[in-house]
Amino acid sequence: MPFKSSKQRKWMWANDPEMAKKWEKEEGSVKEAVGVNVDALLSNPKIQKLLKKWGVKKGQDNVVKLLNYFANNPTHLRKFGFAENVEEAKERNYKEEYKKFQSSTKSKKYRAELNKYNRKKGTYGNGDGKDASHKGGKIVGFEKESVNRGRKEKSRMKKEQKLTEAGVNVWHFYKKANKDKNKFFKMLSDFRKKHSDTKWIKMLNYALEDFNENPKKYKTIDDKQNILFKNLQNNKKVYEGKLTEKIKDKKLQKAIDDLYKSVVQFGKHPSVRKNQKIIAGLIVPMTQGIVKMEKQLGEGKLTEAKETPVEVARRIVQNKQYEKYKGMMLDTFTASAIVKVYDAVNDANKKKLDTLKLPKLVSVVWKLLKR
Amino acid sequence: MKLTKDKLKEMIKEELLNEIQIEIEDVQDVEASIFDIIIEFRDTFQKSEWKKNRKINTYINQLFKIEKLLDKEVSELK
Repeated sequence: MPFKSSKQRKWMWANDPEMAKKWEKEEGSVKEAVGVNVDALLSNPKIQKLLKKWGVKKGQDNVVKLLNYFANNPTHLRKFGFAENVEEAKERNYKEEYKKFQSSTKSKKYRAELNKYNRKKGTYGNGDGKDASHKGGKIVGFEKESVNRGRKEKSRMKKEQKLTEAGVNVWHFYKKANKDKNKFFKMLSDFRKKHSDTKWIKMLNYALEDFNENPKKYKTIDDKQNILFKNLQNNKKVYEGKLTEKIKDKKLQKAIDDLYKSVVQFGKHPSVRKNQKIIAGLIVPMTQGIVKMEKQLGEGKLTEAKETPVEVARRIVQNKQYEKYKGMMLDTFTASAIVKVYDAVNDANKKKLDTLKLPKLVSVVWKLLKR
Repeated sequence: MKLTKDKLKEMIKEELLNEIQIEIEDVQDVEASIFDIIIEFRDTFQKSEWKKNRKINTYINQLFKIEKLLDKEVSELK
């Protein structure tokens, strides 16, 4: 059993040195796993000086001792530029951190205040399972203790989780890149590095409206990206797809996965693989049907990217073709008026116009034009 | 028993024939398994909250139709 604290270590060495030796050994084996490059550490001139100072000779045991020392005193290691490695390798002990945080005088005072509030209300210690909860430094009221104490800390969330929760919005990238192709592509490639290729391709396929009808149209990933960019430029329909496109019902997800696998397996069979009639005529439509079903059942139903009425108006002007927008006909004359007004106003007012609904927007535009 | 060239050829032919037979059986098995899995999927789907979704019901019917055609094709292969 390794030491729990430096105090315990000192006490053990003073009172029970044999046991302390044992524990030290055990701890040594644990600490060996710390991600420090031993050779680099030893070749560091400062550390060599330290070794000389301590009278430590080079050898496996001595190195382990040294590592133990640094593991216990990571701040010392930071001086030699190895702290990053150690910090990465060391896992955070959240329970200990919580204990430490709660035992500080500041949080003790704060807790006392909450308890006082609880006593005042006459609910302290009645076992109702509720905590006095705070928000922004003020007591808000009572909350279930499981909710209050178990609230997720942001730093605990993994990077991946954060990304998938946010979902991927191609429109967001497009707007953030200021419609610059190079920037847009760089953002996409950065995003791609963080995810597997299959997920990435899945997302691209979602974004392209006609992918399921003409999958052969898009040969490479670059093709897909280029066409996606063109679609965005021309204000064509682009879909937002979440990366975590899984069906809530696990049984259903498993059944559909099995179905897909079995069909693919059948397609790979040597006697079927050569038969284009079966592959093109039957297996491809079958897999397409399964994919469509999965989409339909998926939690993150594909939603059409949100278009503002101004964007629709711009498209109408570009195509010289009226369109229906949320049940309303928008003719080219009105559309061109909207675009003209939108381009003329300043940025702050542009933002205001973006938030307006179409009927309101039209009335505002006509008012402005009459002036 | 000495192994001559002719004997070896015969043995290889026999083995190849066996393989082909097995392959055809396998194709039928795999095809049958698809049918089973579609039925399984339909059952789980009908127990789920989506059971009244028309689109998916039509997709499932389409799958059954395609599967029928597959069955025909595979029997022709034989």
